[in-house]
Amino acid sequence: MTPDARATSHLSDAPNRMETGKAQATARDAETERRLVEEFRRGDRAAFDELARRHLPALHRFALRLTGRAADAEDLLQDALLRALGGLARFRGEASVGTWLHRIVCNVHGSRRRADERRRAAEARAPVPEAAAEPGARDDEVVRRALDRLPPTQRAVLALRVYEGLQPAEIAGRLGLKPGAVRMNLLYARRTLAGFLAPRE
Amino acid sequence: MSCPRWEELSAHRDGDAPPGFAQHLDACPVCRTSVETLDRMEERLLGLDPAAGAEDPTLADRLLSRLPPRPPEPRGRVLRFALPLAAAALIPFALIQVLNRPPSPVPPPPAARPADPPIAVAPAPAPSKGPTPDRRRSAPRDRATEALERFLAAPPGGRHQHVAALRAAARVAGPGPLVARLRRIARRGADAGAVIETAYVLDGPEATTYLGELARDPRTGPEAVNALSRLGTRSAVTALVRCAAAEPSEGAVRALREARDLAREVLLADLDARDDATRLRALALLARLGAPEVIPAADREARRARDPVPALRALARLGTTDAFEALLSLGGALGKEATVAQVIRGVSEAAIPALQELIHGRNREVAFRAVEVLAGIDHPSAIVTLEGLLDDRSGLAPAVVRALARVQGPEATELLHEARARPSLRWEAELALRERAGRNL
Repeated sequence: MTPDARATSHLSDAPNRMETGKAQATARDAETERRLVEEFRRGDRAAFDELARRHLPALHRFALRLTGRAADAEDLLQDALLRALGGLARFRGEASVGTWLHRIVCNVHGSRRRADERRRAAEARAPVPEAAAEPGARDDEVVRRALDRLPPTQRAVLALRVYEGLQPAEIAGRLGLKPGAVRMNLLYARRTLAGFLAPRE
Repeated sequence: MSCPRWEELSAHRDGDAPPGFAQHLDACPVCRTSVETLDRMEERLLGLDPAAGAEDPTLADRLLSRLPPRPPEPRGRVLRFALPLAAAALIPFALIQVLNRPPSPVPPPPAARPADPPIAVAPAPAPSKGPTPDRRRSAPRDRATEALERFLAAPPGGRHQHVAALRAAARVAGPGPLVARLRRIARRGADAGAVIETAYVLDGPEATTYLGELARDPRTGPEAVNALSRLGTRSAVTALVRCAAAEPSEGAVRALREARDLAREVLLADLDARDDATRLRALALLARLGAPEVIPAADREARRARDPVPALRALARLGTTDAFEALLSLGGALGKEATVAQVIRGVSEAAIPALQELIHGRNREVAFRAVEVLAGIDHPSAIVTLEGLLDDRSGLAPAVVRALARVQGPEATELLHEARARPSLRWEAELALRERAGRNL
């Protein structure tokens, strides 16, 4: 093989090597996480903290995108971590810890929203404010309010698609959903937002 | 290729477009606009990323320090194990009591009881002192039935004292048999309010199904709807949706508005049903809930249904400016302008603000159609708007005159006379007046 050919071959192998390297790192992470779960089951609370720290940056971004507000995101994460702490001993390892934690955040967000809406309805009997903009409302506000109207799963799926750039199959893996369900949620979310935003463009 | 549906447009955004989509996009300005709208929407979302620059290095410490040192024990788990453990601990004591008891002077009842109903009978640890008609009362299911009957028999103000017992009974026996028992009691003529309250406390799919049935009965409807609304669970909301679809009472629709996201999720799933009637009922309910998803769904239904009127009515019912814009556009696209005008006249005054907004909007084609429809609505504010347009420089004045030609009534005649006084509209108004005069002959 000539030096040029060797160089070309080296270049053409580069993406494969990168993929292999990534897969190896993922496998190492999964192994570490399995070990941490086992340690937690044996009573080591610090193992939970370490697991949480590994995923908190991604979970924080996710929570911010679900709630849109920093204080709400922090409350949501606090509840989700409490639930994760109570449930980690029963974690079966069918999905990755990251998927499990994202799913918890998503579920807690859904419960909190439903509880909020029920409380609002019970307390005031006042209709929940419509997301449709009044004339003169700022465009950003229109988008935020349209996002607030999306059901939690649709918002979660849209956030991962738009902000993280994940493909439907990857979102399915991250949230523990089926790819078909991800596509339907994306469709509904886009249709809803387009319903709000398109005519104002 | 015909214009792609929303599913395909969305799939295109995910790099999964159907074959021939790109060629169609090049040729079809409507679809290009839709795709551009989606592109712009995602760009706007990206511009509003709440997580941009939100890294917080102290967050992990803050959150983890607030967690308890040991995992909290889930409440359900405690109850699930505590009750059987307590029962198991009591068995040896019960056995000792039985063994120490003197022999009964009364012979035990016959062993074989083939006529017993198939209700679980707890094995009696010792021969009883005589024939025991209440022997089966020791079975968990019968204790649950007793709790149910006590709850039903309690006065309305005193039922809260029995809630915990009934819930505990439902956990042990399962809500299904208790709901079946409740149905039997209700058929014998129990107080409807007590039956509904009992089903509410029992909760679970069987109870919500039963409440859904009661919600459709005019005698028990409002109370049952209220109970389902207070439950607010997915199965309760599904029961409410089915009830509102069968008989869209104001109470049921109000309850669905309160349930909001869950109701929308259930109804949006119905929009994909194969059955036309289910889809159209979901569309009508979503319109009453003010869900913006009605616009694309009604557009799709109107284009594919033999009778587009139900879908058009859903848009009119939605009542937003966007809905009326879609309605007017659809009328043009389907060649059903007269049907659309009739549907809009059906909601009458409610359409006027949206039509006024559309007249001054950017879409000229829709503005002209809005003028025609507005002219057909017999309402003072419609006439005032049309009058204002006669002096407007938007170029809609001739359209107003042409629309008035087809409208009866003294106000329209008066406006046409006013238009004839303006030099720029003189001939148009003259022709319109003659057309009306000819029609009136």
